[in-house]
Amino acid sequence: MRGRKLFPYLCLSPFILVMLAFFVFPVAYALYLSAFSTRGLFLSVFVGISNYVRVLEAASFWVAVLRMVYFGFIQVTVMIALATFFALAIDSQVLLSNFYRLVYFLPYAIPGVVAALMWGYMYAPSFGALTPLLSRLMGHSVNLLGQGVVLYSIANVVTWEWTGYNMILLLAGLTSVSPTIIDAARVDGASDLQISLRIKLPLIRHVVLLTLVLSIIGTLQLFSEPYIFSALTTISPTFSPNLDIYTTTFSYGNFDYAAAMAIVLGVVTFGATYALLRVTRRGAV
Amino acid sequence: MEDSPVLSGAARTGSVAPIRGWMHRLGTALLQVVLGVMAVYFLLPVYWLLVSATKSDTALFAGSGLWLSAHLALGENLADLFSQSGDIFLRWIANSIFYSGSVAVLGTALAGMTGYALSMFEFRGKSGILYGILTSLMVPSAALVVPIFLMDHALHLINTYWGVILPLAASPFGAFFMYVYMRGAIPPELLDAARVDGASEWRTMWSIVPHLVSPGLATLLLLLFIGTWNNFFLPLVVLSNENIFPVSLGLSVWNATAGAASEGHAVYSLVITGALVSVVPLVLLFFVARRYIMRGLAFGGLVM
Repeated sequence: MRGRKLFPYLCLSPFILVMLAFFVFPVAYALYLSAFSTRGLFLSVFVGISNYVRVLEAASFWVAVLRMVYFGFIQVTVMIALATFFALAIDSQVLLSNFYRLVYFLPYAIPGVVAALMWGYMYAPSFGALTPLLSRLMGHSVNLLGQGVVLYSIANVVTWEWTGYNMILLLAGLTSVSPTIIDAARVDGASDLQISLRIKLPLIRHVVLLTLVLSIIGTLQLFSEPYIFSALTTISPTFSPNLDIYTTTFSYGNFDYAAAMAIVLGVVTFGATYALLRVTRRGAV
Repeated sequence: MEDSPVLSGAARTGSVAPIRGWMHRLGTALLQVVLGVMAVYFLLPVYWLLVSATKSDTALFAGSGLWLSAHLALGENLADLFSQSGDIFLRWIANSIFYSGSVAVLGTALAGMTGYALSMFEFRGKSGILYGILTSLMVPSAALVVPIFLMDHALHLINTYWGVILPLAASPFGAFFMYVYMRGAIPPELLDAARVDGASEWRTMWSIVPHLVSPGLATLLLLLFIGTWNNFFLPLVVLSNENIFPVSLGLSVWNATAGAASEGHAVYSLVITGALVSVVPLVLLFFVARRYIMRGLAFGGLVM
């Protein structure tokens, strides 16, 4: 009998141990570090919340956050709209739907670094992949890696990478739509388009919300794509909040301040997620 | 506004049918075209990668972009790739397989035991642990990377395989996934029957459960494998010894040197060919296991 009482705890202990070591303690350690400031090699001075005050006052950090908000506004909207469109189209048994489902999902098998490399090289004028075509279309020379445009170029990469993934989530939601409703609508003479827009779409709105939440969390964490692009063109080291944190940690060695930045970013992301869920009137679970 | 799609009797019989049929067919044709164009879009970079990997360095910069050049240099490029810097590319691929495999196996084992305990037992602290797992799901993973780096540093795990494997194996997603999955997949009566027969908890778990949950375990293995293979930020931060780089990190280092050096042309060709080779394992895995992967993601999504 005693064996039975202990058993669940035994099962849980390895996982709990690793979670404590690599999840709870790191966060606690980061919180601890963020209350210090290191002058020179060994002198760590307790500075309380002044690192956080510095983060709140750091224009470059918040510019990066706002840049991601703008980025997310455009990119997430386009991506979720595309994913929803694809999911509905594939679900309505259009020709070759299995083929399309596979092809659209394929980018998920491609690591973000490789996706950024492929697109980055295609954008690069020296390889002559996309630029000649676009330049002829636009009538003047186009640089997809140029300062004003690179944000949208990166947005394109992220969209390419994740639309299929979101589409799969939405397709899963569509499988729970009861076929009886669809049949009834067809009997009433509804077209496929009407069925998709009036019946299926409202029924999967909680899945759409999930993809929105996941995408917003992802946007605020943007790192790999700007990092890879920084070797191909000029990318400010504070382009995205995570890039800023990375540069602060490894180029400047400023661990304490970086820890504060990471925590602030985590709080901002958490807050944005919570706000979005609240606004759409669903619990956090 | 009239909301109902119900048409009048005349419309249903035939007077409207030809017009509806014509518009319907046009709409469907347009849809097919749009879907086809989007398929080209999604395949474009992979196509470009294939084409570019067959080009020699000079051909790459000759500006022929999306089209094959006359001379197919894929063999030479591959030879260059695998002999570069003392076979380091092969090491990188092996490393990626090791990292992804280890996280997949370890993570699934941890998640499986956790899910089993949480789904099949009642005990003190259970709801606390469940809430803890759910909360950790909401923490953005990238915000954890620098804290994990600091932790690895404190534990002397910097620049080691385990410094990357252990943090990734502690997957709250895996635990939650297994919890929900096992709740549905294991009938508690089966466990009770085994206990009545006198089997210990340990025996019960190992003899009865595996065939019931093997699809779920396989799915989680796949998801963790793919997730780790694609993970870049954590290895970037934790590793500096290029012999233990995973392949995506190795490629990014080559890419950085290609950009910096003035004679970077040859390196670009390496990066492109390397990128192509690095994509092959996952795409193969993808094709073979796509149903599992899609169902696993779908299940994970619905769970949340």
